[in-house]
Amino acid sequence: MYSRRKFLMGLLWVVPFVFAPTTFISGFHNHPYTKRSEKFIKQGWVLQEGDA
Amino acid sequence: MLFDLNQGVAGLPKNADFCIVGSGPAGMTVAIELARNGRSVILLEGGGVNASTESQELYKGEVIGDHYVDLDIARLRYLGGTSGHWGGWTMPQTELSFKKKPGFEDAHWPIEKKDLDPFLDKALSILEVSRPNSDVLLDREFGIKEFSISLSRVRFGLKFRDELSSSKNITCVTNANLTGLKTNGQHVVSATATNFAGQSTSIKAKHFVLALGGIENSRMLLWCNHQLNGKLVDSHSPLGRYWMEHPGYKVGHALVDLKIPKTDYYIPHLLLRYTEEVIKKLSILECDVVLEEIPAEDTKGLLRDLICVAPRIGEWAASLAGKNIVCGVSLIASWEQEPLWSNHVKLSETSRDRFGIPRVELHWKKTDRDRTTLQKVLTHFNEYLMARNRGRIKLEEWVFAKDGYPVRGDDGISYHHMGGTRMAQSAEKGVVDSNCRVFGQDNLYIAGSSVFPNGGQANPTLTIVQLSLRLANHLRQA
Repeated sequence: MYSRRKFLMGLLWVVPFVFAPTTFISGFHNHPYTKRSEKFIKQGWVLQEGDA
Repeated sequence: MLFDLNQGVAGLPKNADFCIVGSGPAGMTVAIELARNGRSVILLEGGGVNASTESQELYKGEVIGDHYVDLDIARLRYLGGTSGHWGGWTMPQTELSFKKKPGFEDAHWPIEKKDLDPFLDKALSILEVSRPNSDVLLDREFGIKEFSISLSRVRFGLKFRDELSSSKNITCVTNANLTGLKTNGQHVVSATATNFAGQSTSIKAKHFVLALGGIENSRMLLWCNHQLNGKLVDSHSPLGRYWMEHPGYKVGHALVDLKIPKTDYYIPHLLLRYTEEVIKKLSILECDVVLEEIPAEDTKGLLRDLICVAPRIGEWAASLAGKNIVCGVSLIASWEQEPLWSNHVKLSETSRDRFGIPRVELHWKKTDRDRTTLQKVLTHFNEYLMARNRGRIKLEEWVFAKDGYPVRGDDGISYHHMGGTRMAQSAEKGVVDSNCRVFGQDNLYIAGSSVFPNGGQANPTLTIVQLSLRLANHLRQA
């Protein structure tokens, strides 16, 4: 299920030129062990929900 | 003085304070250090000043178990030993290497890192490198650190040949193959050296050091012990056991938003390892992940592939690539292998070399723990990339299969031969004590990576040189 936050993150991916590169480096500091989405492998790529 | 035993045995000094066998980084370091401190040394080298097929042929052997390269190309048998073709990567062992690790508590060093630290600067000086930069913590929560290495270009044979020629304290004897040791039970009396024509001579010394390499130390101790009906090595010692490598495989590719440092010695690459806390949390052994930059064309190919498979993330990556933020890398993972009794050096029962000595039979197999380590290492790295939006990885199919590794050249092989005569506090646990003295003899020592009780994460040569300096320091006081 997409969260609003994930949706906004997706927007950041799609329109990176709007933001400075440092946004990508420092903008998404969810705690790594609390915010997880489903992982899956497709043709070797390790992806997560929303990638495709 | 340099002396070629192939020219005959006449004129060769047959007595010295020290007889050191093997002129690779370990033996050469001990020999030079002792000679510079006024001790007389006879340094026996089985090969010549230059490589030869007749010497190299003696390194032939069989590997039983996992894929490995031929043993006669995995190491070099002439002046300077395998430093003649080593990669030069230089870094000290981590603190963690010297601590007890879950699951193999009895395979830890009986010495501490602080016991080797006093010899670090001198070892770096011998390898003609500066101390690598300290680790840089890239992500605290994920415990990911960037580490550095220094690149040594030292070939021990070339570096020390002139000193060997001019030294009054060292007699370096080339084409002098160790074919036997004699002991009175607790004290080695002499070593037998044989040239390629089959002529032998006996060398007497107060102390003997075997520095034949990470496989040959075990092989020759096994052989000499066999010849002496088990009177050389304590019968409780696990001689030849716990042999280790650093398995390391190219596991796939990645598109990453990470700064890949340029170096003056290799293609741009980023060296990553995990903090002690993460290693413990994941219950893995020490490991590293190397990201090697790939050419721009290959990066474009990866991007096209990702766009086809996962358009949304692919387009994101492509947009960053246009700004040179994302780049394509090869992904290489290496790890410390669990020391196992079953991985061992054995004397062949069917094949002997020209001197009648059984060839080596190396039993080596990776285990489930190796695969689990690899999978956990990559899973954790992927978690980091995803959580931080730093990229995506594309793994080869075998990585998450239940078993099987790719068989392709030397992929999976680091040429790091460790263990077999490991250091321990007692003969029940190891072959040498904390001063590298063989349990069972009061004047026989081992130098080299065969004494490593575990592999750690570092490339072994710097530790070999540190240990050799420490051994020389001990022997000077003997």
